[in-house]
Amino acid sequence: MNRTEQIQETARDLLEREKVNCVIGYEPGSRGHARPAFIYKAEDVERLTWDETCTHNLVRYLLKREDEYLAIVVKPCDARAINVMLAENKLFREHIYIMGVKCEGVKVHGNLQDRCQRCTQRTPVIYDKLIDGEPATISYDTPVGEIAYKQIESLSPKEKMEFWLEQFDQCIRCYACRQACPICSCPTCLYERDDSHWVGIGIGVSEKRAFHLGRAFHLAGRCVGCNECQRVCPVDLPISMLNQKIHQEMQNLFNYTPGLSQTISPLTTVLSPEEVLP
Amino acid sequence: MKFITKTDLSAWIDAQITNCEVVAPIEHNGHYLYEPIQSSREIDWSFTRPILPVKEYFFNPTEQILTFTKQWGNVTIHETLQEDQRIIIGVRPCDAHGLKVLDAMFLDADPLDPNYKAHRDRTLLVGFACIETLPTCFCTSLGEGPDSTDGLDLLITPINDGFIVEPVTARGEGLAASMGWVDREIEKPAPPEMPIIPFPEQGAWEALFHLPIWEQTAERCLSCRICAYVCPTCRCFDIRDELIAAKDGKQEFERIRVWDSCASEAYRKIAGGHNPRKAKAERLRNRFYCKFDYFPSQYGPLACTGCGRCIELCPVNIDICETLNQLAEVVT
Repeated sequence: MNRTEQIQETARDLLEREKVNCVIGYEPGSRGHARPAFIYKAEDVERLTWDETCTHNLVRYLLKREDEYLAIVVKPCDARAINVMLAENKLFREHIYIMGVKCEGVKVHGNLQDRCQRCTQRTPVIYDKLIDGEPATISYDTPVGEIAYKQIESLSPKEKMEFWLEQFDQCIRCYACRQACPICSCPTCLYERDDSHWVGIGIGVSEKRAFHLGRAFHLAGRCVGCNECQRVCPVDLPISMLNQKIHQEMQNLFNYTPGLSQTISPLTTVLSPEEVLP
Repeated sequence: MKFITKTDLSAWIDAQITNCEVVAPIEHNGHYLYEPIQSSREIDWSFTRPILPVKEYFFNPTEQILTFTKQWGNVTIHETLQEDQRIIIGVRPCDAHGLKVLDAMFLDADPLDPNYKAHRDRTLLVGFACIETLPTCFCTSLGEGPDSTDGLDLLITPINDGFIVEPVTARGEGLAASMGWVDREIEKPAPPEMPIIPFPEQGAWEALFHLPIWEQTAERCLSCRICAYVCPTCRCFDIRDELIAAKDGKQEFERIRVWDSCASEAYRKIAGGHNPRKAKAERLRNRFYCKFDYFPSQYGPLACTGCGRCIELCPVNIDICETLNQLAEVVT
C-alpha cells in the first residue's frame, strides 16, 4: 500500500471504531497543492492524500481542542512539535493518535524546502502508526537558504542590523508566521495585547522589529525548524533564519535540539517548589 | 494611437522623479512591491501582480490622523493631511478598480474621509494593462478587464517595441502632454482571456447564511490577516491614541489608524470581552458577505476585483473562486 492508502485505511479504522472523532490530514487543494483536511466520517477518508506538497505543520490544529480525541498526520519535523507541546502540557498524549509519515522532503512550487535539504531525520520521533513507503528519489543540493544564512553570518553587526531592518520594513504585520507556528500558543500574544506598553498597534518598522525579534526569542529552544513561518510569509521574509541562528546558539551552549524528546527548553525557567508563591 | 518607446518613457519617468514622488513596482525577495523609486532603472518592466495593491498608498497600513498635545489641562489638536503630489506608475486595472470601490465608501458616502481624499487628490495613476494573466486572476468575472481604464488617469499598454499611451482623465491628458509620444497606426493587442467565475446575485445570499460550507472551509483557516491585507478593497481599521513624547508636563500623542482584518481573532471583540464573531467560520462568512452582500447593499459596488491575491497567498488554500463556485451551485 502506498502512503495515501495507509493513511486512509488507518483513518477509516480509527473513525469506525470511534477511537477518534476527527482525523487531521491532507487533501488535494484547488490549485495543485495539498491543504489541511478534517475528516469526521469514515466515508470521507478517501479525501485524504499524501504527496510531496504536504508542507503544512498540522500540529497547530491540535491546539485548543484538548477535550477531543484527534488523529493527526505528521512529518518528522511536525512530530518534534508534538513533543514540545506535550512537554509544555499543551496537549494530552492519550487524546491524540499520531500517524507518523516517513518523509524525504516536501516541495513548494516544485522546489524542495530548505528545511528538507538539511533534515537528517526521515522517521518521526513519535508516532502510534508509522506510515512507510517507497523512498522518493529526491536530489539534495546545497540549500539556497544555507548560502544566504552564511552570508548574513559573515556581516558586521551594523550590516546585519541594516539587513534585518530592510527585511522587517517589508513585513505587513499579518501575523501569518505566528498563526502557522505550532509552538506559538500564547492565549493572547504579547504583541497584540490591548494594554501593551511594549509595542504599539502601528504597522511601522519599530513595531515589526519588536515583534520579529521577540517572536524569535520566545521560540528559543522550542522552535523545531519546520519553517512554516517562512513558507506562509506573503512577502517572503527569511524569518526562519532568526530561529536557525538561535538554534545554533542552543546547540553550542546546551547541545540541545527541541522536540527530540518530551523535555522543555533548557532556557525555560522552572520554579522549584520552594520558589512558588503560595 | 499614441506610441512611446521604452527609452522615452524612462526619460519621462526620470523627469517626473525630479518634481515629485514616483512609486513603481520593484522586485524584492523574488516578488514585486510598489515602492518609491529614485530612477526609472529600478522598474522591472516585466512585473506581474505586486504582492500588495496600490491601496496601501491611499488607505495606509498606519496613518496618522491627527496629533494632540496636552499641557496643564489644555488640549490642542492638529489634523495631519498630506498634500505633496505623487505619481504611481504600473497600476494594474484590478487595483484601480479597487480604488473605485474604496471611493464609494470613503468619498461618496457620508462622512467623507479627509485622509483618503487627500491621498486620492494628490496622486496620479498611470496604469499598466495586463498582457498576460496569472492562474489566479479572474477580474473579468467582476465586470472589469485586464485592459480596463476605469479609475486610472492614463493607461499604458506594452507592445513589442514600446508602449501605447491612452489618457483617460484630464489629469492623464496633462501627463501625456509631457511624454515624447508619436502618432502611429497600431492595433491594440487583444486582452488575455480568463475563466469566468459564477457567484450568487446579491439577493441570493440570505439563503446561504447557514450552510455547512462556512464551517468546513474555515476549519483550516489560520486566522492570519493575509487575505484582508493584500485585498484591494478590504478597508477595516483599528484606531488608537499612542504617546509620542512626554517632557516637562507636556504630553504629545498621535491618533493612528491601522489596518485590521476580519480573519483575526480579536476583530469583533468589544468592551467587556464579548465577541459576536468568535468562531473562524463566522469571520470567514463575514468576508464573503462583506464583499458580495453587505458592501454592495450599503455602498453600491461589489467589494472584490478578482485580482486573485488572496488565493495565491493564503497559506492553507482558502480559494475564493472555489467557494464562489460551490455557492453558485447551491443557488442554481
